[in-house]
Amino acid sequence: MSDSRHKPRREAIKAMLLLSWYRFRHTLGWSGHAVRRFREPTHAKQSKRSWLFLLMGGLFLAQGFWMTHRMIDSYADRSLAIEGDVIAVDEMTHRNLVNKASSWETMTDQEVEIDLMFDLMVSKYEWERMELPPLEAVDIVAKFRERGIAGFRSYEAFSKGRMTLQDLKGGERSRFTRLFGMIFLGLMVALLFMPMAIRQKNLAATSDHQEWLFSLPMKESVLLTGTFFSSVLIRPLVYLILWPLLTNMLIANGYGIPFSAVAAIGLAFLVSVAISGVEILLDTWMRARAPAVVLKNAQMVFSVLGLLSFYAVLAACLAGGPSFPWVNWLAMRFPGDLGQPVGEVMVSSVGAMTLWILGVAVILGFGGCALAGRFMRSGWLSGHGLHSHDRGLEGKSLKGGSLLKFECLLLLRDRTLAMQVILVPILIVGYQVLINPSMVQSVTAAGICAMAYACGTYASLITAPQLLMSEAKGVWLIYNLPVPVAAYFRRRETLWRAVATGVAVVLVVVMLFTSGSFRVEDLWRYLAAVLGVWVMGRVASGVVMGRPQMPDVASGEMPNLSFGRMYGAMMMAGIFGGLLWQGLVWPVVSALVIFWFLGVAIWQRRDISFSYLLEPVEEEPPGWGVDDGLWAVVVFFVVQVAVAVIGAMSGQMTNGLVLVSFVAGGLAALFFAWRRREGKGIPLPGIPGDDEKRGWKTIAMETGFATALCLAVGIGWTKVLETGIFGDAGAGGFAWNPIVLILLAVVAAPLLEELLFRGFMCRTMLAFWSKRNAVLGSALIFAIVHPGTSFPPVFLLGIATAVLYLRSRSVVPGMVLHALYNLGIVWLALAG
Amino acid sequence: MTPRIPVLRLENVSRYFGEFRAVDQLTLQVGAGEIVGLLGPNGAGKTTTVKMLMGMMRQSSGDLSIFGMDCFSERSEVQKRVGFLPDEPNFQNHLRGIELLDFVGKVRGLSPEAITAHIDDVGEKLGLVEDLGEFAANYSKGMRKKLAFLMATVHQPELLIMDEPTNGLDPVATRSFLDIVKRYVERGTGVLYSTHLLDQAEKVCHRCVVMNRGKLVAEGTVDSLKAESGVATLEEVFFAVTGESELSDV
Repeated sequence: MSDSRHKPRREAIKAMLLLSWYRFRHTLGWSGHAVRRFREPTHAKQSKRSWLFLLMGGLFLAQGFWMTHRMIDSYADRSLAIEGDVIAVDEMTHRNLVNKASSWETMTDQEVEIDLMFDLMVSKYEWERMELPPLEAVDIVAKFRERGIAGFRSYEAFSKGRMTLQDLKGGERSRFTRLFGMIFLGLMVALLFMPMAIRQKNLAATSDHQEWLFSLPMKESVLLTGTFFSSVLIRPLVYLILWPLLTNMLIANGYGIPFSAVAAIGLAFLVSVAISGVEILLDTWMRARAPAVVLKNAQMVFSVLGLLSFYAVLAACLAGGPSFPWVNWLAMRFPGDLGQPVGEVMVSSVGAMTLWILGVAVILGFGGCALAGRFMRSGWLSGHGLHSHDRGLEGKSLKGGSLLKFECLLLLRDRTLAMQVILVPILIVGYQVLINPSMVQSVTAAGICAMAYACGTYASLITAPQLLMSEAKGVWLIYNLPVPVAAYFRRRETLWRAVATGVAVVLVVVMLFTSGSFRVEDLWRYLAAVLGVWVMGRVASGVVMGRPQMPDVASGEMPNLSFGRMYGAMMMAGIFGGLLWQGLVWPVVSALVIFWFLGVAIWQRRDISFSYLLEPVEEEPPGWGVDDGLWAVVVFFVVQVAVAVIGAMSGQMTNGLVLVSFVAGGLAALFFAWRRREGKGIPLPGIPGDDEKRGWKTIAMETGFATALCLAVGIGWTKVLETGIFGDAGAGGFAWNPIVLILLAVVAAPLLEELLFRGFMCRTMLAFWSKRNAVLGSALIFAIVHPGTSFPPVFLLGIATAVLYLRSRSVVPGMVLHALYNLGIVWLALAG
Repeated sequence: MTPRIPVLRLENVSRYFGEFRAVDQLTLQVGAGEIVGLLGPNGAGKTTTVKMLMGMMRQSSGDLSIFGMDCFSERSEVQKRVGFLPDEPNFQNHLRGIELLDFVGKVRGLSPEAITAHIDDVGEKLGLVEDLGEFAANYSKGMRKKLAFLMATVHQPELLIMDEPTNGLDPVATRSFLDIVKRYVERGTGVLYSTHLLDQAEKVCHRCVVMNRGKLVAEGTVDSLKAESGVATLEEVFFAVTGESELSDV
């Protein structure tokens, strides 16, 4: 008797755990024993995916901890204090001052920049209604000019462990709790709506997953609870975003780090209960009650709401700088009741916070779940489909069938996608125009470029994968058409890029129009921003199309994206955005050239792999592509840029740091390029082609001649630079240790760079291009990753070593030439 | 049986997935105006063979050619003259039947009149015309099959490759479908008809090829196959050559 009473509960718990476990495994891409036994070949890929997922999750978490830490610090600590002859400012402002001070000498219009900065700083403090010391009495501008950064210091913050939230004064604490409430509410909206809109979810159609659940011999209540429980547990975004925020909140309240971390996980779990409750209710109720058109529109609105709230939260979190005074303005007007239902205690005690969130979780989570039970079967099982309401051909003319029209049709029909690509970027800018017109008016060229580039790149990163996913089912059709598959995808790719670039152009024009700050000398930056979107678009779409295997085309499963490369493309996009923001001409041009080459190279590989797109288990065709070498060059370039930026920011670049980073960059690059040849040995000197191998005497003579030529040009160019006709050509601005310099220039650089630029780049280019183009192309990339002022001799050096490589079929003569050349130049520099 | 000009030719074609041999040394021909049935139990390698013919997959060894052109490297040339009906056709979510058909027709360089004429003819016979304005993602399995068939024949192909073509069709649609196929064959279209429905194969096919575990186990006209095995129906031939006869007695 007692057995039969307890059985259903046991079943329910078992079902909940099983469903959660399967969802968890699916999220991480882990296959169970049973699957592994039968699908050996794919197992390796899956476990790789799960590691990547963990790695990316870790990076995301770290970023979250950093950002929320930053947010709390900068908000709690906003006074301007005068301590003797030093002015204490908040940490973010201090950092801005440091940056300005370091680039002070090289700034073209110092007066304008410094006035703008201090105007914003003062207005920020005014916005926040801080008790300011009489500013007229302390002329901070004068102090900055007089003493530079020495006249300022960073205020103590939570991170230094000197204070807790309780130490804040009444007004400040109130502002903070309201802000926290605002951010929390924004996050709830974003975390609810973003997955509802973007995930492979189609509200207007029956979900296969749910349909399958109903074939299990379980009570509906068990199914509902199981689904609910698994969606509470497996909600990576909630945990990745909320855990850091809540942990930092508790730490700021004076709790210890271990306690805060554990308590925050519990709180995040409760929030997940609330979000899952609302989601499951919306999911079932809307499907059961609303017609298909409403569902599609609702999903579109969800995507806009979710993305915009997330953007608002990001803006609020990063609002330490002078750019977003409206966040404080909004926080002061945010209804206190929402942010602090139990008063200011809410954010200052873990108990109050728990009670508050627990209440919300119980009401929304279990209430939503209980209500959802009423709509569950009709909601989940009666998908409307993408009903058109006007069946039949009557009154319908045949629409044009060109590829362009077909593609535009796909783009526009998918409302969610169209919204995200076209509307969201415009809304983000509109958001600023409406809420903070003064900020848009004062926006600089750097801001316009960065914003336009970011939105355009976002559009290109989102169109390609979404379109590909939405039509994975129909890819077989393309193979059934009498057109080359590669050409077909290339044309589509061009359209995607054009849309993204269009977004960037529109934003540049709109922002220029609103701010009225056009200057001819900034023209190149706008051009670079737009070109950057165009160039990165090709890389991004190439990366998306990167997997030649689509595991289950017939069942319409989402194609397995290469997440690692996707993340790589995002990082590259970010680096380019950073360079654009800094307005550094040579790195921007270099990055454009490298990314352009990379796009071309990736698409060359795509052309080959498209033939294998539908193969279920076959490995990618072997052999290198130019992209391997270029990925390596990108790593090399990125490490160099990163070192330069870190050095410039911290103002202290040591010889050791440079040497270590050079070697690390080179090794990473080599690893990248070798990976495809796992276990197949070092693929060095052999060159394809029918060149007759020359004797060593000939090679030695040629090497000697080339060395003499390159050195003559190199030394000549150094002399030209010394005349100063190209401005100051100082080499980095910090003192080299001669031994390190010689090690670097004469040993490390020739070894690594020859392997990279001749051994990989030139060699792989030969597979696709003529000898002349391979020599010129590899030399161009070689020269472009070097400082801009030394372009002519380095380009010549690249050509000479590439020609030597072709003639000798070995990288060794090039290494000798490169080492001798560098020795000559370094000797000249040290002697001079 | 008069010898026909071969339009499709497979010679010693093999395809491995790792250690597994999905297709093993398969040799096969289809002539113009001939329906060749590709028979075999589940997992015999029929769909793999069809995918290789459509250039979706490359063979591990051997030669596949259609109209003398390589199926993989000259795929797009081959596709100008071939129609393909997959086992489970799926379509882009956001397109209507008519738009898909129109798209395929335009890519193949057909005029709107030719496409309309095709719809009026074949679409009418299959009873799909009314549903063409509907989003293809909403189609039932049978409707998807019909749409895919319309798309496969819109350019009047010289060779039709079909994978389980009547799978999902109701008896009425099956009959009109078979009539249309016969009409194409009378005009000289070659047909490779992959199926496991033996009674249908017996009625329709001029010649049958039976595969089992990737290997060709029997080939010939239905009558000659029956005579060789000394049995009365194609079903019994099938059990005899695939070695499943013991089970049929149980």
